[in-house]
Amino acid sequence: VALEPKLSHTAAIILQAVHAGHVYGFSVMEMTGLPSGTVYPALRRLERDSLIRSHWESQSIAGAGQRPPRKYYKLTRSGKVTLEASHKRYPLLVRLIPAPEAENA
Amino acid sequence: MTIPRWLDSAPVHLAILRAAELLVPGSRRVDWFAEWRAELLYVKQSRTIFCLGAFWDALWLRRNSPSPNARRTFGLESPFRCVLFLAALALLSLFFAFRLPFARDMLLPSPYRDPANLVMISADGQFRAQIPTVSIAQYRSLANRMQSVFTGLAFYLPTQTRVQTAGFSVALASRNLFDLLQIPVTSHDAGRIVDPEQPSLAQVLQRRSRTGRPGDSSGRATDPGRRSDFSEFLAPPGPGRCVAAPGPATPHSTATRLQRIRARPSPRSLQLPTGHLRAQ
Repeated sequence: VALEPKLSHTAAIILQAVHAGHVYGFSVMEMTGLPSGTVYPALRRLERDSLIRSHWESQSIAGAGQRPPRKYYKLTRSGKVTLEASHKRYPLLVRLIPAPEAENA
Repeated sequence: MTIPRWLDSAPVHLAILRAAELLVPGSRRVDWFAEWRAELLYVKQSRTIFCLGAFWDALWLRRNSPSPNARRTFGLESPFRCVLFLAALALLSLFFAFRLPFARDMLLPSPYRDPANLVMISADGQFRAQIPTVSIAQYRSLANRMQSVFTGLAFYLPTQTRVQTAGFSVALASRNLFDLLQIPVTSHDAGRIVDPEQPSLAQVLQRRSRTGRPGDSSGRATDPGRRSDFSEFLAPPGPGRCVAAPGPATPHSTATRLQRIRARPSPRSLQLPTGHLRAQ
């Protein structure tokens, strides 16, 4: 039986924010109100634990917007499972940061 | 938190990110800096505080990105290697401590039996001088006047003598110097009494150097100021010193003006060299 990693409240909030479509660091900061010194290391930790994965925006899209490419984050399958488990532990998480599919439901 | 205006500028933000970048493991620096720089473009307020958060991120990466190369370089995971490394550091520190001026004398035990009660006497206001500040005449005057204050008073003055290729230092000292310092001195090492009828050691050295014949000496001392209460011997160079041992009646005001001998490195130079020149 695979053990699901238990997330801290902060990590769960950040994971929920990424799931809700706040896919880059500063967006997560704005959504959660957490400082940069908390959000970015947490993103690294979640990525190390394979709960999220990152990818760089393509140069053509960034070039069209006359800005440098951004790094986006996305939940992995494992991340989704862990997040669902976290919802049981932190029931207010979904209401705090509603995901698009939850809003549409 | 209020940030001064000059700190909230693009060059400062860039400098902060560059400084934090140094903490990031080399293989991840480019990506890391690119991400932070790109994110910074979207930050409208408190940009400096946002950038300061980069240090936490960089530190996390550093702590959680083990570098196999670094492990191989230091190899300090083993307790034995760690102890070995500390021992090497201690040896290196000792080496440098002994090479530093005065450190050797501070580390080694004093050659005198009672250094706590020995003091150097310097001219008023010259306590830290590294050159002689008390003349022989002053010493004699002090010796006469301060008998009630000190149990003894001695004088020591090395003078540099150049003999062709080699440099020697002939020290002139009062004859009670070794008694005062309680240094055991054999009669062989006791030096020679300064006698106006005999050449000075410097003259003997110079003559030997010229003739190449050891033991050949002649001539007369030309310094009429020398007296038989002084002796001279070969010694390492160092500043002249008037040394005294305070007695029970030493006034406090005087004692506070005297410099403790332990604080000065020169007493070790009072030791007689083993290659002492025999008196003719």
